[in-house]
Amino acid sequence: MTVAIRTESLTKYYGKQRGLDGLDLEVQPGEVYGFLGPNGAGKTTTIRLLLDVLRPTGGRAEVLGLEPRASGVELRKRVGYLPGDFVVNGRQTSRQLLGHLAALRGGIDREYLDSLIERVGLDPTITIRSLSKGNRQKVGLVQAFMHRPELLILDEPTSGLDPMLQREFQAMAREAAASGQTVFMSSHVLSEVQAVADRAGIIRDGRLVAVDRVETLRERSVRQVEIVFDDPVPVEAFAAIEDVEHLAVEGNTLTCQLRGRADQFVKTIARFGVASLLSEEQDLEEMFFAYYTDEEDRRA
Amino acid sequence: MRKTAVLEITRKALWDQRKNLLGWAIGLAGATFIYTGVYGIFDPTEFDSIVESLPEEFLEAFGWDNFASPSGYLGSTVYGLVIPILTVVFAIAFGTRLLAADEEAGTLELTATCPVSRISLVLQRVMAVAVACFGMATVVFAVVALLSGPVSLNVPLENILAASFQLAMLALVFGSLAVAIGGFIGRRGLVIGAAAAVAVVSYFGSTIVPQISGLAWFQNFSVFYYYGGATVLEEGFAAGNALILIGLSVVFVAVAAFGFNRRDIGTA
Repeated sequence: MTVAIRTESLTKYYGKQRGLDGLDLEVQPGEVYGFLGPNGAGKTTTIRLLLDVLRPTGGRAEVLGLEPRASGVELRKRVGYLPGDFVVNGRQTSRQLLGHLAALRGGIDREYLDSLIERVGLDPTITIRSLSKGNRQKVGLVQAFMHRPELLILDEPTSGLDPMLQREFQAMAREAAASGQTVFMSSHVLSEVQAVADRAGIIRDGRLVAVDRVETLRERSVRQVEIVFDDPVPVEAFAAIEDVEHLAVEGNTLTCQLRGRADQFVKTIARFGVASLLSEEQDLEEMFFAYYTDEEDRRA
Repeated sequence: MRKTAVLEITRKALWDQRKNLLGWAIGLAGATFIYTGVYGIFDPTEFDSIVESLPEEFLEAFGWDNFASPSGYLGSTVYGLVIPILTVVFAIAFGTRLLAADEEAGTLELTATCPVSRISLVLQRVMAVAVACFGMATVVFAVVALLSGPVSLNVPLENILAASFQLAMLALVFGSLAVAIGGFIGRRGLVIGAAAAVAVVSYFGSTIVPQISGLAWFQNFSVFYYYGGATVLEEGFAAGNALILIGLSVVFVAVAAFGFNRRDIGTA
């Protein structure tokens, strides 16, 4: 079976400015692949290269076994794409836009389209400019999914969506993968990818720094934790816990960084009365940095 | 394999711009109506006395040297100055809107990521420009033809038709020029500026510049010279000039397709 996406030293420079610097990527058919990286890392550049919107400075790309430049039309026929910045002429209804895009695809299954529209809760009769950002994103999602493409390339698909819709999107992506479609989605938030992807690649400064199973990433991710207890707690009670770093206790309040499994930590704090608990994912940039230095350490 | 709907991009471009197109059509119809209608009101001899008081070079520059005859009047007004300029302005604006402005707004990306080739995209957009240019010229033709009886213009209908065809081709040359520049630069302002500059130079190149002694040859480089609406009204369809305009449009379309096919979209 041909791989869904493969790039070899894919490179893109905008004049002297780096867009992508030798990206090697491989996405297997039927998987949900999270393409993670901070803003400006080269995620959108990669996606645009895959769709032949941009032309590479060096290296090569292959999508569904096709070369973007030579077989762009055939390739795009089999791909559903959601741009990171979904902007369309606002003086039309979603129905008109979707009809146009469907015509460009040689017609689509109307029932499936209607089911998608209903699923995301979109009113297709409203002009697009009077839709909220979240509702516009729904239009973008519908047009990407509507022709049941073999490969979905989604650039920051959940941006602007409320939590309920994010969950709906995750369900759609998982169903797509279950029916054999491949999903390639970019994000700058780990938790978004965690919820849905099988594997994730991490891109930083135009290069792929790591590829791993999402569970592995999660185990390695660091969370900033702040807990307020009912009563002051002794710091020693937590000092022995594995994977806890930067521990500080001040009166009733505990702060620390939790790495990997939370099990032992949760069982320990459960012995005290917990008034509130705040757990924040670490900034992605920091996490990548931690990940990256880890890898270096291991090699050394 | 399912087939893409034929000229769907052309259809959509025209549909999206329907209000804009209607506005221009009404404007052109109104201007044509006023200019043509005025002919019935004025006494040609009064024109003559005004015209005689003006310097000859000025008259020739603006094609007003033959005001009193019906075809002369029509060639100096409707097919001479205001309507061709308005139509060219429309064509440049429309040609820019359909490629460069679409790209600058970021809305071209979604179309370009549909299963359509870059060349097909450009050709279908140019087709929309062509339909619009011929539509505008048809409006002008219809108004002149309808009024020619009531104001006793006495210009042969086929000459009016020929001049209107030249008007459409003049517009298409500049419309496809705007698309051609847009094929290389995805910036609205730059494309309008460059195309307008060519139009201005071309216009004066067929009017004022040839009046300067020794510079008459310059008109051979002017699109407006090959348009020659006034001459066509007098003498009928000029196939050679029409072919030059058609040829120029074809070249611009090819240049547009060439430029657009080889570059990045949305980074300029």
